[in-house]
Amino acid sequence: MKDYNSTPTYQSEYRFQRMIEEVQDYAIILMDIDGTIQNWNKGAQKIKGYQEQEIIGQNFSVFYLPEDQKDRLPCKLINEATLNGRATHEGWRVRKDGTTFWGYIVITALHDEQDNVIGFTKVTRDLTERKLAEEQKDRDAKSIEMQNKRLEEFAYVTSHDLQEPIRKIRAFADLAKAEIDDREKLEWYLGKIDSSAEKMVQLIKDVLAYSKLSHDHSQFIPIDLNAVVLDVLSEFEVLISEKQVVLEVSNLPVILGVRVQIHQLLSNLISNAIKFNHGVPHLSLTSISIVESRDDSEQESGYQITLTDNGIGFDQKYAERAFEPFKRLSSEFNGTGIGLALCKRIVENHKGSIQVQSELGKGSTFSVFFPEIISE
Amino acid sequence: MLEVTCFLIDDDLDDRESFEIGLKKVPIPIKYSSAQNGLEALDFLSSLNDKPQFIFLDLNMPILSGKECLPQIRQLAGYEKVPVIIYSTSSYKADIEDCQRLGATHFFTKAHSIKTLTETLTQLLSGEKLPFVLNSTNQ
Repeated sequence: MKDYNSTPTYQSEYRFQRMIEEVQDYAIILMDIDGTIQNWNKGAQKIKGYQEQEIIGQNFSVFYLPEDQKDRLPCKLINEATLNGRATHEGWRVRKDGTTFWGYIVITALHDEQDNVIGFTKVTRDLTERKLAEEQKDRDAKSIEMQNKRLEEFAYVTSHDLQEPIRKIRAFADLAKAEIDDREKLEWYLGKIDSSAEKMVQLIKDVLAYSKLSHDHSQFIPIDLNAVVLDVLSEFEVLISEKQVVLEVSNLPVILGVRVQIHQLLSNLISNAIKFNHGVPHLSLTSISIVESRDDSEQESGYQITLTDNGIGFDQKYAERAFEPFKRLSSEFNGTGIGLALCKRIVENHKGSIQVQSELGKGSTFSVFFPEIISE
Repeated sequence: MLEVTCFLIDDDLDDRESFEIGLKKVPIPIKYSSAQNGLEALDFLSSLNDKPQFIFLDLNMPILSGKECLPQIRQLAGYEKVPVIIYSTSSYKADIEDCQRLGATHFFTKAHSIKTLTETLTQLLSGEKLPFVLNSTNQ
């Protein structure tokens, strides 16, 4: 009898099996109809980190993230392959050591001669590098978009707001020249020139502060908001005693942030609350722990800091506009229109959000949300 | 000679004052009034029997900006054709184009010389034919 091992059929099958086993760039595995792993190749070992003897007999769902397992994603893919002959998917998968990789998988159903499904092959490619490159590209595109937006804002500022005080200075100088002998008028014009120059200085300071805000997360340190508030209050000591401000501050949390930015934020909010008030300002600053729902339906825990005042307020329909740069809601009080835009940018740097509820003549309530954990 | 009626909408007190100084030097009899913001202006304009012959409108104003105010003026009965002259610090191309599209008659960049202001106002109020953009080269 002829040795089967030397037949051409055996030779061909053997080579085919070796081919699968030796492929390194793709994990190629065979599974039974329940998704139990039947064989393993070098690629699978390289991509997923398991030795052949550790993994054979286990269900392929071990490669999936706990949340995907909970959503029964492995089961859904098997069902899809059973129904349509194949199923493809891209997503994060888990290696033996718990690290993750971005896998592109194709599951193909295997059939017997009666067309019954007898198992599946699963081919996986590790596309982590491509995925990370794509994400980097998205981040770059977003950052360019953001920079363009800032440039546009800058162009707007230089064409409107920064020109205004200069034009006034020239106009009043022009008037002063024409009436150089009228001492009273001359003094009045000089006063106007002086206050325009002062406005210009304030504007430049504000624009610089606004454009210099850093996104560098390495500067994030734990900050005790109680200490920041004390600092801010000492800054406004004179104004507070002049206007006899009543301020209630409840115990505030420690948050992660950039100290100078958080100081600027609280300083702007508190000074607005004092400034935009005709009577005796009553301010209340409180904090609660909350869980916030984000746009991507993830939930995020953090602190909501709320500042309520009894100031002049504004119509709620201008609430969005309040945070746009150079949009003052009142010409009755001095302001460069940057304060709240700066607050918004600071809060966004801290991955938080800021909102306002206001009623004309009643007062405003600003709510700032700081997430507990700041992720990139 | 009949009075020419002018109406200025500007939130900036200094600018309202210097506009009035420049306007007073125009050698034509003029009736002048002003409003501090767009809302006040719309109320005032819709209550008038004698419509102003020229409306000057600032762009950068709180609450209702010039660009928001302009189409609303055009929608008031009888104000479809009244000359509305944008009177702004801006000489920004996008602003000029926006305002032309929104139905402005002229775009007048605020001058730093009262003499220039008076000269341009004189030409304008005496009905001279002028380009859309006025005084744009002074900046």
